[in-house]
Amino acid sequence: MPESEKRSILVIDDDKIIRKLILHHLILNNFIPFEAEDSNQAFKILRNEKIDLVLSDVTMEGMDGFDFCQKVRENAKHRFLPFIFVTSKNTLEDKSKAIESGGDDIITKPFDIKELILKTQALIRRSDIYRTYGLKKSLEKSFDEIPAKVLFVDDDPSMAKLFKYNLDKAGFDCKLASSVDEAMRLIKNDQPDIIVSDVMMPKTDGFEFRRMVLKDNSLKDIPFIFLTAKNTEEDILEGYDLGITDYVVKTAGPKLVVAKVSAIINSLGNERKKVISELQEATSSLRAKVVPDSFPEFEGFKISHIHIPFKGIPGGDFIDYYKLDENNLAVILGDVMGKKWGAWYFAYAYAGYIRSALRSVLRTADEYSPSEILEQVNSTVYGDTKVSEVFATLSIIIINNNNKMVKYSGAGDIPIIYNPVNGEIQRIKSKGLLLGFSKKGEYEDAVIQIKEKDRIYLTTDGVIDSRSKTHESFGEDRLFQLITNLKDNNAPLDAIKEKCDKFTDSEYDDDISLILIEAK
Amino acid sequence: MEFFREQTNDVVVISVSLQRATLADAEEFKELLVGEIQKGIKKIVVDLSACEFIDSTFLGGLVVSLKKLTALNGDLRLVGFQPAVHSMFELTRMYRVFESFKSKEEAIKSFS
Repeated sequence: MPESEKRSILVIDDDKIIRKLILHHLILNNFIPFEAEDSNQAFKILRNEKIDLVLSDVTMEGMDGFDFCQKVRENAKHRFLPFIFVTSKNTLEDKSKAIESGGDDIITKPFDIKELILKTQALIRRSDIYRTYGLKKSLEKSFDEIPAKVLFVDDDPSMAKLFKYNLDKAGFDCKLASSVDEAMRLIKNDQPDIIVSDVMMPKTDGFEFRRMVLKDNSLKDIPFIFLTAKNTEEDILEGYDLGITDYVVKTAGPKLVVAKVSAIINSLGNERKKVISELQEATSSLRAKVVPDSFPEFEGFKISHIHIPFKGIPGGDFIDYYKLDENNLAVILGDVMGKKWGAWYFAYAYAGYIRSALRSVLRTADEYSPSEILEQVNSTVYGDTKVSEVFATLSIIIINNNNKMVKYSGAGDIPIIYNPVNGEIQRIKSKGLLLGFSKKGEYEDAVIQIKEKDRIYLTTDGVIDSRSKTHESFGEDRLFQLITNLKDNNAPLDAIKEKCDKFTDSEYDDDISLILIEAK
Repeated sequence: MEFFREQTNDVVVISVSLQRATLADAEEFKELLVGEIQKGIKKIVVDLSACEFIDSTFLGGLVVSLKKLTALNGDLRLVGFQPAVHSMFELTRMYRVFESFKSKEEAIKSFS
């Protein structure tokens, strides 16, 4: 893990041995630890360092842990800083005091170091999710508060002044440009929410300006209104060919322009588009990776995938590989429904749920069972009100490279395709319901005894639902047929991608994900 | 109008007049259904006979509503599966949780 992605943990305890013990394990688990023996040292570290989580003792010299936590919470910067108490006090009164003072969790001494690390990891992940979610909320609100920016482009200064006066009065923040050159300069520095431009201008005209804006990916979605002196039909048609939002005849006056600008700014679609692009930045900065960059190394098997996110917005699909032990690897493919409602970022939460379910199965089960994992994830998701309206499909495969057994269970997922070297290619359908829909998902395991060079394919509905220019769906049968024909192909995923690209002209409506498991 | 609403006694029928019911209209659809539920409607029939295709986001809207309704002892029943829609419900096993009928009348009658 690169240094910059590591999280910093502050450990406060007056017992040096406990401090060293915790520190040692934090380092082993890729955290950057800071230590303090009392609240004074702790405050100093909080001031100077960027701390992601606090592990604090309760009984200390000077200020005790509860008071310390309360003081920390008074600072707005640390109001949501994850905070866990590590204490030998375990009466109900202590626990309620811990929560009252602003703690997020409590671990009692003597503690299991694994539990401490797990709780630390879980709390950090949870606060990441809340941060993104909180960010989204505050972003939406901020649209109400900041006046929308209008860029007004016209070579006639008196005309420009008149419109600016009216737009400013209506509560917009209007900037003027007297030429396209100047307008492009202004746009690059400070992106407007809407552009109003004259058509007839010396040097570069409005149509050319529009083409320039359209060429730039970061600008092409800004609503664009033409202000035109002539209202001949050709003019207007040319304008619409350029995907303009609207046009206004100059003589109609500034009031009409103000009305049109307001109508466009108020249209929800535009705001949402902006929230999405901001969120896009937020996730990438949050490192919310829902698809691993590399394929897992697993003795005796070759595992690979392709993933194409939908138009650059982090989609609902997620892929995870998790090594349960030397001989068992879990392969996970999920699809969170309802991208439109901003639900894509739940893909991140789901990935987290599944990871923690895997961990608990790991701890308790003698034998790994994908259906057991599904049952656990389903009951967690079903009970969690934050994601209770979000549903996901999930395929889980556990491969054992010792006895070459592959166990599969699915929740509302697309049937996996099993393509053995000898024998007939077949779909294997799971019976389970979508995650989060009902309390009991009724998941079952299917077991495949895999042989050398056998292949198993997993996919989500993206490939199947993708469409050609003539609106024909790719369909499950076509995929099945294609895979049948690729039996002797050495790079079947590439071949499938090529076929899909050709079929759809590389325009997809959804995330495209495919995983291939191949026995060596 | 993509969605047409009619009411017979306490049963509300929503007809979806979209050839492709996808994420473009999914949110409006979901809000419409949730709105009905909030108004106290517990018996809803969704007529999909105009739909040649529905995607997972649109299906999500149906699932959210069904989940809400079952919690209130209500139900959401479906009418008019075209082949691709039928296979979508089969693929996701959702035919097991939604009751479906051949005609609106049958679906309405099933509630009484």
